[in-house]
Amino acid sequence: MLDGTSLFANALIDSDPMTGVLSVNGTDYSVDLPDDVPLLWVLRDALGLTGTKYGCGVAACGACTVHIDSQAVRSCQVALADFSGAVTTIEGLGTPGALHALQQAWVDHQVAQCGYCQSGQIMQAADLLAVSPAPSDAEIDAAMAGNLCRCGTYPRIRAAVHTAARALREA
Amino acid sequence: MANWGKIARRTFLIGATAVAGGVAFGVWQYRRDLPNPLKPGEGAVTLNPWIIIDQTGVTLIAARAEMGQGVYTTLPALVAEELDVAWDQIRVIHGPAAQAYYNSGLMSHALPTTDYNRTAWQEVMVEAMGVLSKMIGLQVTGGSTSTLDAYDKLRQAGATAREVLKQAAAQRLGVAAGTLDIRDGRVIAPGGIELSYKELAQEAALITPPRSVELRPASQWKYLGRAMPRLDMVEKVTGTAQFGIDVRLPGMMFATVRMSPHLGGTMTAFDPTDALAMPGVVRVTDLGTGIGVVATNTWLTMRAAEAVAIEWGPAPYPDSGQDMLGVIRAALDTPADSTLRDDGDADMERDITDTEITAEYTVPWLAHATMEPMSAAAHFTGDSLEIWTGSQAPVSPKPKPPRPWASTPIRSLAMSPIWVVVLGGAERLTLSCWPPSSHRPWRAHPCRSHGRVKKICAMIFTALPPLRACVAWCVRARP
Repeated sequence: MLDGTSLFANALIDSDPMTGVLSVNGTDYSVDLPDDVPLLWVLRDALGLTGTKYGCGVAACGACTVHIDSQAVRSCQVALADFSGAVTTIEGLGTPGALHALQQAWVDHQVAQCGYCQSGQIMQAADLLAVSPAPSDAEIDAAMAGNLCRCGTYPRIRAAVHTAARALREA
Repeated sequence: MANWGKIARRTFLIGATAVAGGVAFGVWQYRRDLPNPLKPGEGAVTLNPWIIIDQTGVTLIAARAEMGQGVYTTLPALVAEELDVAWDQIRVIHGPAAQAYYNSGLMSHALPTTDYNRTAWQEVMVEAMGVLSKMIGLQVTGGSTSTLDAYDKLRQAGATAREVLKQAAAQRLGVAAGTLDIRDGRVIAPGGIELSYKELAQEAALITPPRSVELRPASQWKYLGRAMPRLDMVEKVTGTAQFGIDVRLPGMMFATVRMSPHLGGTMTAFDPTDALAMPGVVRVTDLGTGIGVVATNTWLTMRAAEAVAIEWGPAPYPDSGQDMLGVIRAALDTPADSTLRDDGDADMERDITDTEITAEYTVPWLAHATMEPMSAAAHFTGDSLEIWTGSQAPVSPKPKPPRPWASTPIRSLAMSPIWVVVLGGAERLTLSCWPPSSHRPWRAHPCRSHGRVKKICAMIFTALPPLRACVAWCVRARP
C-alpha cells in the first residue's frame, strides 16, 4: 500500500484526521485527511494524480469528472466521507502507451486545444458509453452538457464519441 | 529605400540608446548573441537556443506559451521543416524563461500601423522595433505574433543546423558537403552511407555556423501549410500534460490568498485564531492588504482562508459597477489628450453623405474566465526564488534576489497573465499578478518555525475579485 499523503506533504496534520483506505485506479492508498475533503483535492494534492483538473470547485464546469464505481461524478463535490467505491481517474482509463478507445478517438479527431477540460470530457464520455453503446447526437449533447470547453471543441468531442462508440462495439 | 532604411535604423538605434536609457544596450549588445539559457548537459551540444541535438536525439524548444492555439506544434514544425526531422521523432520541450527568446513580431506590431499597406517610414519603424525588442529581451506570447515572429527565425535556425550537420558529415566522410542529402534526421552520403544527427552532434558543435542559409521553397514543404497532428495531443487526452497548476515539488505545501476585494483598499484587522486551529493549517500570513494561508492541502487552505476574520477598508473607487461606468463616462466626455492616428478629414466625408450613424456601446467588467485557475508553484532556497506558472510574459518583471518581491514596479504589471491556460510546467517564471507587499512572507520564510519543513513550496490561488478591481482601478487612473 502506498502512503499518498507522505509523498507530497512533510507536515503532520494536527487534529481530527481521518485515516482510511482509498482505491484509485486499482491501487489502495492510505489517506490521512479530514473527512470533508473533496475527492478532487485528495487526488491532486495528496496522491499527486494531477490529470483530474480543478476548474470551478462548484460542479459548474465538469473538469474534475472521475468515476466512482464506473459512474461519472464531479470529484469537487464528493467528500471523502461520502463514498466507499473504487475511483477511476483519467490516468486509470488509459495511458500514452495504451490508449482507451475514447482517448484514441480524441487523438484521431484532434479534439484537444488547450486541453484543460479534456480529462473531464473523456471521463464523462466513458460513463455515457457504458450505459449507451450507440448514442445519438442528442444523447451525446445531453450527457456532455455539463462539461464546459473554453476552446469550443464540442463538435469534435461529439464526433470522437461516435468514433469511440463504434470502436468499442466492434471490439 | 534600402539605404534610407539603414540610415534610419542607425539613427533609431542611437536614439533608442538615449531615450530608453540604453547605455547597457547599444549596437554591441544588439550584435552580441543573447546568452544561451539551456546549458546542455555533458555530451550534449547546442547549435542554437531553439534546437538541442544530443545522444538521445533532437529536441526542439517551443519558447511560447501553449494556450490551445497550437504553438507547441507550429514552432517545432518551422524548425523541423528545414532540419528535416520525421514528425513522429519530434520531441518538444517548453523553453525556459530567457531573453534569447525575444519576440520581435510583438514589438513591430505595437506600432499604430496596419499589417498591410505600410508606408516606407512605417516599414523602417517596424524593422527597427524588431531590433529594439531583441535588446530588451521581450519573451512574450500574445497579439497573435508567435508564428509571425518565428516564421523566418525558426526556419533559419533549422536550416543552419542542417547545414552544420552536413558539414560535420562531410568532414568525417571526406566528401564535399554538396554531395550530401538529408532525410528524416539523417545525413545521407553517396554509396548509401547514413549518419544520424545524434552521431554528428558533437562534431557539429566544433563548426562555425554559416552566416546565411538557403531556406526550402514552399513547393518542397512537408509540414508547413498542412494540418499536422498536434504534438501535445496524447498528453492532453491522458492527463499527463503538465499545466502550471500541476507542478508538484518534493515536500511541497499548498497555499492560498484572500486579498482585499478592493484593489488599493486596506485590511484594517484580521484574526487567524479559528483558521490556525483547523487541521493541516501550517501558517496564516499577513500580506498587508490580505492574508495568505499555508496548509497541507489546497482544500484546507481554502477553508482556513474563509475562517480568518477580516475587516476590510473601503475601496478607493466607486462601489458599484454603475458608479464605475459613471467615472468612465465622465473621462470619455472630456477632450482627448492625445490622438493615435488622424488621417483624412471626417468633416469632409460628412459633406458627401447624408447618413449619420450614432451608436454607444457599453461592456460590463469581466475578468477573463480561465478554465485553469491562476496559480503558481514557488521554491525559495534562501538566495533565490524559482516560480513555475502559466505566463505569457515570463521574463518580466525580473525579480532581484534576495528580496525578489520588494520591487514596486511589479504592481504596474498586475494585469498581464490573466487568461493563460498553459502547458508549461517546465517554465521558470515570474509571477506578475501580485501586490508589492507580498514579498513579506518569503522574506519571513513562513514555515521555518515548523521545524519539520525545511523549505516552502507553495501553490497559490489568486482570487478573481482583486483582478476585477484591478481592471476598474486601471480605467479609473485614466485622466
